[in-house]
Amino acid sequence: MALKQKHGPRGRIDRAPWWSEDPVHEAFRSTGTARMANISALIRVAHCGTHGAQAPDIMRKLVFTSLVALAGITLGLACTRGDPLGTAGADIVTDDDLARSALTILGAPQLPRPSGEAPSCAFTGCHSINPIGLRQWQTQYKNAMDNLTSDRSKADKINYFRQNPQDPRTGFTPERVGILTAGAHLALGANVNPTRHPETYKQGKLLADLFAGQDALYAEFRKEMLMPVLTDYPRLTASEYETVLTWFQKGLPRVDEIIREERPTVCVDKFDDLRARTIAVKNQTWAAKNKSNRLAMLGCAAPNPDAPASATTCFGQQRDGKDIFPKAADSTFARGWAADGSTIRVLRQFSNPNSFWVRSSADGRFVATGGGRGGGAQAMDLLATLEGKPARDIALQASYDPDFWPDNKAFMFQGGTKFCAQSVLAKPTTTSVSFTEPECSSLSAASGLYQTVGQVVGDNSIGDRFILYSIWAGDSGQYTSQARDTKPRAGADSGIKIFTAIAQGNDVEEGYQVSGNGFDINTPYRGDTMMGRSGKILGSRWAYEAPEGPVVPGVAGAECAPSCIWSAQCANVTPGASLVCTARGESCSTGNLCQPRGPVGPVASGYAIEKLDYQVIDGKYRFTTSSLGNVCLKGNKANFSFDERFLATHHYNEPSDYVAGDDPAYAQKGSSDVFVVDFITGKKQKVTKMGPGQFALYAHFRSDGWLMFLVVDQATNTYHVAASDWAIRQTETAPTP
Amino acid sequence: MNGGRLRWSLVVSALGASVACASTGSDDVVDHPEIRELERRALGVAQPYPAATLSAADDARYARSKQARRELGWSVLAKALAPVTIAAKLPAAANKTGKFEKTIPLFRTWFGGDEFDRMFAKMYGDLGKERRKAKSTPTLQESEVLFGWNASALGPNSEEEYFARLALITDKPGVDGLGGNARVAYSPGYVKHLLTEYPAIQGCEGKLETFSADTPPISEETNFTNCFSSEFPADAVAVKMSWRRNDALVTAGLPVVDTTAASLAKRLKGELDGGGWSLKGLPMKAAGPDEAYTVKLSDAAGYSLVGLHLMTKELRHWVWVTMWWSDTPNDDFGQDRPQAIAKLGPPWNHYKMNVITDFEEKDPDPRGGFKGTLGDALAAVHAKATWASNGFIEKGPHNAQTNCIGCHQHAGDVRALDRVLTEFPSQGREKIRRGFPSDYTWAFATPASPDQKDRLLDVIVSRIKTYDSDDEAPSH
Repeated sequence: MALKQKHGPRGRIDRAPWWSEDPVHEAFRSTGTARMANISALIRVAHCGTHGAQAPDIMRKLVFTSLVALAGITLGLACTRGDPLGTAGADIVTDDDLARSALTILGAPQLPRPSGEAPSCAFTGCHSINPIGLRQWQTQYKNAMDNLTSDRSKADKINYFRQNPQDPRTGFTPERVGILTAGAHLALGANVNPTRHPETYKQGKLLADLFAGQDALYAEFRKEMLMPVLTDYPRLTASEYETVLTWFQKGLPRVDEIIREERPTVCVDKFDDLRARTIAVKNQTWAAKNKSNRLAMLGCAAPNPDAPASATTCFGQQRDGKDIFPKAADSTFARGWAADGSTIRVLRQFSNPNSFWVRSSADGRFVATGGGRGGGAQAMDLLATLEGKPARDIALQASYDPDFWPDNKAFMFQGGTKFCAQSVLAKPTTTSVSFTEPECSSLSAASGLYQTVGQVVGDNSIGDRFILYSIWAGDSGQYTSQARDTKPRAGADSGIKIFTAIAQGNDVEEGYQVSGNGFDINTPYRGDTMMGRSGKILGSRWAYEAPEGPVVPGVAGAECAPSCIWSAQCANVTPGASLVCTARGESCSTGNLCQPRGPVGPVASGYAIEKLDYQVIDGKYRFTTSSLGNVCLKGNKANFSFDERFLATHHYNEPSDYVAGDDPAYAQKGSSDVFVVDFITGKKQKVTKMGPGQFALYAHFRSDGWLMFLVVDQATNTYHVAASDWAIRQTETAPTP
Repeated sequence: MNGGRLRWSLVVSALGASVACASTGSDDVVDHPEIRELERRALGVAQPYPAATLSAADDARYARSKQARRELGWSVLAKALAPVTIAAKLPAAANKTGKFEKTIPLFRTWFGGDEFDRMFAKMYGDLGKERRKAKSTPTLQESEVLFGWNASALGPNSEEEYFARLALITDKPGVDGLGGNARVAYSPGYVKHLLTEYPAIQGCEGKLETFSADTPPISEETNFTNCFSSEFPADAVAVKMSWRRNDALVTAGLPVVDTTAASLAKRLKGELDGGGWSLKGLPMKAAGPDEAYTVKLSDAAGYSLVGLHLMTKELRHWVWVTMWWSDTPNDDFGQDRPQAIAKLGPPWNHYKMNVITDFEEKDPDPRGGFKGTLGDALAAVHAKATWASNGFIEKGPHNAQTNCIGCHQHAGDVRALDRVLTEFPSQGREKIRRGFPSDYTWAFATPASPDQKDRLLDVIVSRIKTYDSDDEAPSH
């Protein structure tokens, strides 16, 4: 299930839970397993009575058979395809049954599907099925349902589901709904039966009512919620979703027992090998190669190796006596942005909001992102800005996740996984890209989300291209004071998958061919992996275990309210205290007692940096990884510079990040900043100081070291491309030995 | 292999779908021509092309005789393919995998466009402020020193990196890989001419848009260009290559292009692929290093040479030779392969050749005096205008109906490029110009396009401007 997921604001529960009038849920939460069995039986009868005559599906039968075996219950095979809940539900007599059924459907590796069964979620490039990720979906789902059942206006409820709830121009994003996205496609369709799929039906009804009279908008919502995004993986049937949803609503009972983990808990910086590696490869990076090839960088003077100009002088062009790309320091709204003696240039304001991350071409000419006025994605040509021409925003028939190859010749997008020669953007006549152009083609053989790309550096004029997918946490941007770094979701089953696109020749039509099915490498507890441009270094976020907070005075022993893990619902508990069940993850419905705890302590944050080696064996690329070091830093997905010396990310500021003297408005408006780590010096630098309500996001580099990033200014609802020269200055101050 | 075929039409995208002429026999380039400092040092100094001294009478003879012309073409190839020992002494370990020749074909020692950039930057800087102001050109000795510098400088690379590069060479394709897999290369004579012509070349900046077919040259008798003070010397050669991936990762083999009389006749009538060529759907044939010239690059990627254009200035309007790989190498255009090629040994006996020296076909015999399939093929393409086209290099409709020289006559006239195949007579094969602005070389300049073609005029002008601004700046 490729859930393009982001974190939304968390609302407090100050009203009756949305399921309070739901008989099925009432049954689940009131008395536990006994009632559960009755309800399951009821579901089975209703379900099979309706659809028992459906054509049998062997694959689903296999699942069913497996479930029966797991439960140890010998019931007749009454139901088949389209009917898993009917069958599974019949077998679900305990929380353990429910958990195993749901986890099997979701694809947890601990409960492998029978051989031959199509995979579900647990594949590289999609989601790791582990307690952390599941709880995030649960929280998001709960918040979404709170929103749906709230007394907000319809417009506000709808906008809640957008990437930027304050900006109705932005698209809908699955991270606002959590697990609901896995059933959004079902709506109130013919396969959803209110008796057999009551929760699915209820959810569909809520949404249908919300969007009543706005069919086009509802269609857009459902389209953008469609999960899995990738067509390679089957979407859940109504019955499957009903099972999964039920388990989520029960608080994911037994998840920690079924998926046992040994997560790391502590981050320790390790720079020695990183520094050595950076020195060793300094002439073998794409930065060196592009410099040697005299790649013309946008906004810079023509390269002159005999009298090289500092790249910090780039973007200095003027028109009518004014900087075309103004320094942040010279503008009112950006005056304080540049930190540590660096310069930040504001390169362009977007004509349309972005959607998901932003990436730039190696020469910095094109800046691409999801969103835009048409097509679903956009690429802005900064050369037009430089030349004083009208804004040239190319509409792309794609969704999100652009990335550009370091040779400045090709780019790809998700939303069908598409690939084009960069020349299609540069062609002056191009106003939109449908991806049917001769320069483009589908990359569906190498599909996924949140990819990064790399390319072999060497004397090959058409070096092989790599595409890397990993387990990820959605990162669509957040723009409130509640915004926090996306929680890493990697589990024990996390991994990366690397595809290789191989040049057939150096003539036009020969093009590239994706080789094989991709190469898998297990990366336990590491996700959001980004590949360095040479394809020889990886940076992944560690998904550390959250340490439990200390027990604080409270009303220990109070009986848990249903799903206490979702929020503080234990009775007589000090407001603000965080509650967990006495046995973590156990369902309240089993009658566990709650024990109040203090706020959960700080979670370790950091990145694993690994060396990626490859060689061709038996006609295929084989990859291996080895550790290069560790960088402890808060942040989100991180990107390497072209010289592979710097790692950059953005971080949503938390209250503790603000210091005395900071504008009090930060508390209400929040902000995010860009951070860069230098592998040579070990320095970790916050290179921006955004104002209240200003969010610097998606930092990435162009070939000469300018650090590009998106700025969202909530006060004006405007979106900007900005660039910092901090890394260039750092290199000039402390050259790579 | 798993689907996911990526179609790249960089040339088409760059110049418009109808402008296949730009890729037809032109010496422009899509991808970086790259011979890095590491490989150049291992290769050694680029070797000059041993040009023949040919007269106007020879020119006329070649125009009138297909047989004489083909003998010329094969002799050009024999000279360009002659083995040259590389400069580097490979580590002893290299021989552990078996003995292999440390030679490379002469044309593979030639310069890439990036090297021209490097060398012009070095040359112009070394001239010094006063000589730059005086538009002085390098002496012969200075040029030799420059070429020597280019063959020894390591740029940003270290000695360790150089030896690490050499250590990757374990077989003959590894040696041949030192020449890279770029699309174009220029002989020393070609590069030397451009280096020394920089003042005249700079003078052409901004004038390219003003040229037309009627624009008179500097001198029709002695200098038919508009942008040089003299025409290229006889040892000027430009090469364009087409490579196919051919290694453990891509094992499909090489496409078999049909150049039999029957097939060519259909292409010339426009009955096949719109009068062009297409590699899609062609039968594939496995070919090892003995069947196709194969290189192994530093990343272990293997490529085989399937198409090659050579244009040499041994005749005033150049000699246009094209060569392509075939699985039936002794048929049609390979039937008359001479001993000079045969004695080079494999893989060169797997290539066919065609050549033209004029716009007009002045040999009245369609078969050119040849029997067998060669005579059949020549007859199939016999027409008022000459014919030369390479199925591995020419792309797009009508590009199997061309003759190289017809398109290249317009080189330097950037506005003409789009019109060659569609507007000019006989798909652009006829001579319609009075002057030839850049002496038939498209590498000099092409219209603005997003790819990274060589645009040697731009290289020269931008470098001069960089220095000019420094030279004019007040001294501190």
